[in-house]
Amino acid sequence: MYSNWPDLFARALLETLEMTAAAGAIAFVAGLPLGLILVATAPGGIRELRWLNRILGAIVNAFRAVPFIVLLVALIPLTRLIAGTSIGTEAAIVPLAIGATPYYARIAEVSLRDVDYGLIEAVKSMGGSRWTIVREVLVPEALPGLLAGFTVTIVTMIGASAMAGAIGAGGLGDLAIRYGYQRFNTGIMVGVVIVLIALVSIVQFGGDRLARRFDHR
Amino acid sequence: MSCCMDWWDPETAAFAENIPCSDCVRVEGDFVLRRPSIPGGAVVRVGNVSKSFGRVTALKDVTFEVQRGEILGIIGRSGAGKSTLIRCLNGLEKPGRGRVEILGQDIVPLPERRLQLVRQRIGMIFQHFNLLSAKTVAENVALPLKIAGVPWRERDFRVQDLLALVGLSDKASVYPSKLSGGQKQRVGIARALAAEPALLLCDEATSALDPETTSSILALLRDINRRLGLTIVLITHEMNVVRTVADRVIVLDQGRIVEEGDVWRVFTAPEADLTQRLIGGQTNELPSAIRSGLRNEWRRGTDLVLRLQLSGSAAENPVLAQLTRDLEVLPVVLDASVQRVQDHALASFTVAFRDPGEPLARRIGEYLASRVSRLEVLGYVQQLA
Ligand SMILES: Nc1ncnc2c1ncn2[C@@H]1O[C@H](COP(=O)(O)OP(=O)(O)OP(=O)(O)O)[C@@H](O)[C@H]1O
Ligand SMILES: [Mg+2]
Repeated sequence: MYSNWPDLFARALLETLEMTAAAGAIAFVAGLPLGLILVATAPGGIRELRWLNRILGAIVNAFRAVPFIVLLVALIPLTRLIAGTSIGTEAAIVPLAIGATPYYARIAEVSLRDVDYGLIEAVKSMGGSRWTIVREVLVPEALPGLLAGFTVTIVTMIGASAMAGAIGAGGLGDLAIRYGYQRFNTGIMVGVVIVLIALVSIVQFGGDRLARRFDHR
Repeated sequence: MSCCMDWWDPETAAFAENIPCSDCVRVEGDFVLRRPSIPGGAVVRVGNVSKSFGRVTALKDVTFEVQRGEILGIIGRSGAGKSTLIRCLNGLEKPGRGRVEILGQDIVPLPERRLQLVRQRIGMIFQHFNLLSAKTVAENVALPLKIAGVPWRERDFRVQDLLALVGLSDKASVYPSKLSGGQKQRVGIARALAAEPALLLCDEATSALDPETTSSILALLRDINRRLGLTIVLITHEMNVVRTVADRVIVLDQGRIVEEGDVWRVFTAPEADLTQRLIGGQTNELPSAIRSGLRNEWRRGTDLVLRLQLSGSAAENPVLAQLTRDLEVLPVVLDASVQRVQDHALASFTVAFRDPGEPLARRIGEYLASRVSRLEVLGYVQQLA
């Protein structure tokens, strides 16, 4: 057991990376449009549609209100439907992505809403369509915020993925709980914490740099 | 590139491409020179436009025209409805009632998609510039061309021309945050001109700039107007802006037009109270010591204070010298200025007469009334030093 601990760590790290990367990608691809729709359909938005705004807002709130561990269990039937199984790393991607999407949508919404309305008016006055406004104004102008928000989402997901151990997803969190907590192996526990701190620091550092690169304000 | 009219054919109410009108000529291959006058005249025709926001009436029965090649200034105090009015001209705001014709076409009932095509040929510049921070100067200027579907190679050339026009060729790849206010507005102007607009709208375009930068931006607008024959509507709360660049001025007060006319006429003979007050701040002010001592009736030992204005050719007459000779009085000049508005001279003097006594005061008044454009008896003041 002790002899192969580097293997154990490597596998757990890889599983964590796989879960957060896959679910993070889905959360970005689904959350950004959701955030855009929330901003566009809000009162005073570029495509005001109050009923849609209310419905989407309520759904997003509902998902955000449910603790992730509950979501994980509640989504088991859906996970089985999509992933074919409800156990393992791949299966954990489904609830992680579903939990992170509304989370990121809200963060994206805040960044997008902060874009100066004068810029939207300027492009409108050039004859730009709504799609042009989204492509040339909203997304590029909010990009630093969108990237910073995505970093926050990824960091939160690294934490949340630990809970996915409950459905046998593996990963660093699972390692810490099974070996460190349940078998009183303090060495592994501390090791996991150090790896997590390093991982989060790298993600945060990279995210900050990226956000700054696109910030010309 | 394209002819000034090819985007809109009022006859068939359709958009046509590359059919030059009789007023445009091709020079140097691709370039099209726009001639200032096109039959049919008005670029903008606003008819009985009213607009309310809830209980606030922003515009009330506004009617006016803007001729091709003209610079129209719209002036008014804060909340007069200037922004609302100019936003009606490109459909950013829909009037509650009335017509807004652009090149003969009422844009009020147009659906959004058609409105976008109209807006592609109406440039607009803003008080706070509204440049996209994530795009370079060149990308900002190219955006209207991108929207109009101009291929990128052609865009590049045009952007270079435009940046040269506004004197910012060396800033093409810089981000707007690195520019001064005046430079930002120059980029705004280049961007507004990119799609060869038939009309340029300026919403308080110089209000965020210092006086010197303001003059340089106004000179640029005037130059563009002269060279391209571009029609410009600009709104402002500064009389000075109107005086410097506009041909004609509309004075807006609480959503209504209270005065309209050629700038020199409005300046030399303002009719509405508001206009007089707006101009009043511009012409000479009395020293406060004199103003506070002014009384309405003459008493022994007080001086008569008059303000007189001479406009047009009258400004060249030596009226004060003649007065001195004919009535043998000695006017003391308290303040004097000569301004030129559209090549019309406007001279204005504030003068005092030493203890004239009532009969002489009356004779001075009568003498001047027939010789100056405007005479104002300010009152009597205790013997000046
Ligand atoms: N979107 C809006 N909703 C409600 N009221 C509005 C709106 N836009 C303008 N108003 C009101 O309409 C009136 C005219 O406003 P407008 O912005 O046209 O004035 P303005 O002449 O441009 O003033 P300023 O010099 O301060 O820019 C004001 O009373 C303003 O409060
Ligand atoms: Mg305004």
